[in-house]
Amino acid sequence: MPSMMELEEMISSRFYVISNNNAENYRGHYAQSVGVHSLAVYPALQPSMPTPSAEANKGVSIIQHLSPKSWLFSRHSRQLVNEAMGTFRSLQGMVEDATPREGDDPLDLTSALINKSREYRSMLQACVCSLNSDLDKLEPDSDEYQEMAGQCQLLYKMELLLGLVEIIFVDSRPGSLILSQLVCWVRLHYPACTEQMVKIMAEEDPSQHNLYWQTIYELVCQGRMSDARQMLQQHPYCHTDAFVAIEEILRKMPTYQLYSGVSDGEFMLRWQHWQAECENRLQGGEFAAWSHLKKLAEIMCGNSASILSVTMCGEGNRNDRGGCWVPHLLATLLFTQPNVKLHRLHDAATRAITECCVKLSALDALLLSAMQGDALQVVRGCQQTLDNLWLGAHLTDLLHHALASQRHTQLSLAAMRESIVQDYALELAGHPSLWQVGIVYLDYCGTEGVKDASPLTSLLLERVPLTSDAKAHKVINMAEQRNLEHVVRGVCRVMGRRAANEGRLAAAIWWAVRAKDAPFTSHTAHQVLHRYLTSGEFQSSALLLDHLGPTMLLSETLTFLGKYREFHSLYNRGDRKQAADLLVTLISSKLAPQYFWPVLLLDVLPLLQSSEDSQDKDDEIVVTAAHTYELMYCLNSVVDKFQRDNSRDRGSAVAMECGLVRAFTQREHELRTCLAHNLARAIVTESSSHSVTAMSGISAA
Amino acid sequence: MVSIVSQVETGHEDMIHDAQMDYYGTRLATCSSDRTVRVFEVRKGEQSLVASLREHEGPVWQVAWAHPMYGRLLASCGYDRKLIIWQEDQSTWRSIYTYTEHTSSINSVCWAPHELGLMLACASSDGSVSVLTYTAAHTWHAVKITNAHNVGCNAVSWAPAVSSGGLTQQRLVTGGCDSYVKIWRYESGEWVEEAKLEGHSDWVRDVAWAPSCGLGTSVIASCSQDCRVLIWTGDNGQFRSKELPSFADVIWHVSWSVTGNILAVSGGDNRVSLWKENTEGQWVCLSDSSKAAEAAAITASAAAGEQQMRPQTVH
Repeated sequence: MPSMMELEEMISSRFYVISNNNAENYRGHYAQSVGVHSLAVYPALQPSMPTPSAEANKGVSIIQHLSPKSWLFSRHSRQLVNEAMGTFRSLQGMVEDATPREGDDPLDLTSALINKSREYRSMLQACVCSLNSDLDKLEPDSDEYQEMAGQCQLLYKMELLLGLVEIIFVDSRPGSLILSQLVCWVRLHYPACTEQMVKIMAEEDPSQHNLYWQTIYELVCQGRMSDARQMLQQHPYCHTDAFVAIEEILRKMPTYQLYSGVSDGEFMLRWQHWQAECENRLQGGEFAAWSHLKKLAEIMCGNSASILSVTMCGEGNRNDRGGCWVPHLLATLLFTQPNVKLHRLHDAATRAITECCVKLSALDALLLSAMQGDALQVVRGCQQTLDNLWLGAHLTDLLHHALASQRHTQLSLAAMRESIVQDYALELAGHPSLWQVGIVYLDYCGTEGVKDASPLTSLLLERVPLTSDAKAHKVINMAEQRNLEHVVRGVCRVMGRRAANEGRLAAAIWWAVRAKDAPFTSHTAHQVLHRYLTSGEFQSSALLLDHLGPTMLLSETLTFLGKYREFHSLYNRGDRKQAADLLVTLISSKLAPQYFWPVLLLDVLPLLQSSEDSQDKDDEIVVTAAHTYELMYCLNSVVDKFQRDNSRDRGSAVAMECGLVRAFTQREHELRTCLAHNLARAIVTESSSHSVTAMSGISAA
Repeated sequence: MVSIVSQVETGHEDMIHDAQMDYYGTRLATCSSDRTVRVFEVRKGEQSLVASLREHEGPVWQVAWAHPMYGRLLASCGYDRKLIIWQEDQSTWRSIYTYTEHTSSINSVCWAPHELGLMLACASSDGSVSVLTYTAAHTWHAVKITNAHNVGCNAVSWAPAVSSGGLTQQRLVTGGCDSYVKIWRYESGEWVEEAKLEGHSDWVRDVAWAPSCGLGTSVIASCSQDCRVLIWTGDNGQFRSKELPSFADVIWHVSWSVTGNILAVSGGDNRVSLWKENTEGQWVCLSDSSKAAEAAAITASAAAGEQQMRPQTVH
């Protein structure tokens, strides 16, 4: 059957347009939210409209279940998600520990934040590595390959951005030069030239390689002077004057070291001196004979055309990874503006982009916002351009802590962090195997200083499908850690109800007690008693009943059940006197439900008989005279009731036929005889030993 | 990126009017003009029919799952003026109660939050709303709000449980053909009209009270034949409304996600949109977040939305 509805995705994420081929028969669609962010969609009919003919009904019976898809849920990112949670959590812990007590100065978190940022980056790199190794096993034409290659790109971009954010916001050194950090950042992300160098150097005659010079240029553009020199030394003419001259320039280039004790001004003097010398040699025609060396010198003199010719055709820079203007920016800065400060970086980047004539991608815009020092824009951009919030959440959190002292951004950043971390948590919570991670993130949302769990945590925990006891215990654990007592009770009640439906009564009681649900506990305890009536066994409930302890007080029926089980153990242990006392107490205290009295009376029988059989006349009477009267009264009322029920309707006669009740009716006469004998013996024994007490007891009875 | 996780071929022979996942999202109940209610087991994108329940004598408009702590209970209501409560007992479904006290089609049914006990409300075209409670004596006790809406009541939704002073408040929202959205509160033995919200200009098609985010504020979404969706927020009985940017067609249905932070809006124009309140308190469409700020910002129609609310007793 052809699909009537085609659901197509519009713009980026969660918008659905449904093309409807049968619009005259029904009007639009219904969309029902399912869980955290799925939808069930089906065609709608106005309730007052007549039902369309069967002819027009094709396809009306289909429900589409829609859900956002993201690489977060893929096999490869599982580790990324879990590891990031660990880092996130420990970062929050550190921030909390560093919160100043009264009178203390706040601790500087910078180095800790840098560490955490690097942890995030190494996770991303590890994920790229694992994806790459799997990519090798796939056919490049397959959909899976394309999808995974896309993921690689995305992860790479995320790492690139995070690296820049780290330099600019987290590891920021106000007023100081940032070029050395930029150099590291570019070298790490554009490693093609060093890879190429390794390949070329492995050749027999490296200088004959067609990429020999291009690679040297690229190395120089990344400021890798010693690598460039190493390659130049492989040239057969490396001992000629021109080569020696260029080698010297490369060697002498001053680089700024943050803690070297050299001030900016001094560094710039040295650098200008170095470039002037380079210029002089170039103008003096020292490299005239070697066009390649001349170009190298031009690059180092900051000739933008020469630089551009290198950076725009660099193998590694031209890939579709985006940000291809970045190496150009770096080379330009290295040889024209090595003392660039953060506030000039954005202008330099804009110029570099213009020179490269590239169309700005979403990633470029993010990088530019970072270079502009606009943390909020970086956060917004992440939220809007990426298909999930992994980076958004962690990056916003880092920025929030890193910029904690900057009041002007702090308020909005705190709000953004709150909302993005929460959205990320919900994104995870909607997934059947990542919900626990989501809950952890939610713990760190909400007003600072408020220790209560987020209300969303309750809503989510309550919805975790309780597919097994283990899952239920997991949810209970998580709820208990967060003091969500109502969630714990809810889970226990659901589990109890389910166990009862499946006939697992012991489990049902256990859960009901745990839920402190008295009515349901009583209901289930009654069921256990009824089952005992038919089978004469407690089956699986026995063990539970033995270990109830004070919890049995939750409901009267359960108390009776527990006590009755205690009677069994006393009897089995041979404590007949105590067993008999307990049994009579259970009847006389009205704790035992009346329908269960026949069973109790049957239980008395062996106690009565055992004392009768006893040869020793001085043997202790197990059931006292007073108790015997009680039992006789009880027997009479049970028999009366049976007769009344019998005459009223035949239905309960059938009930009487089952198990222990039938046994009771059969042995009623025997029971009477035993009781009478016992009474006689008890009176004799009791009157002979304590005649006064016994006599008063009888008269009272 | 959004994808179709699964397609359920329900096997209904006529229009589907409602599809509801149970509390855990593992069972799906559907109802249809073919007079049946169907229950499916959904696991890992696969679904299998568990039961097809046929006791209604006309189109079945809505179904609703009770909280699982009461076992597997389903309520359905329909054109035949019946509300039926179904129970699964050892994998067999059967109706355990039928309520027939309405004089016209029952359009909507909603279970109360589990904290209130086993309780549900249904809204009828006869203009009244019934609230049914399962009693300790194992019977269903009904209280009726008569003439809740002139011409008819289309939708009913319970407020999430909020306890104040140890008691859990009972509150409802209803939407009707009189274009009003009304808030009801159970007080000393009767249902009292707490607020009458004027904002729509045509039949109110659906109302949905958002799950509580714990801030003590009530959030209600309503949609109408007038092609508008209003988000009502209330503190201490004072409700204000914000309107979502205009829609091209009638809006049939509004539906909150379980955490109450995303609203799905669907209607006659074959579009389904998802909405979320941003950190600035504006409702934005998740579809187009880049232009969200200008395009989807909602201007608070405080003047139209702020009403003087006077509690009225329902007779």
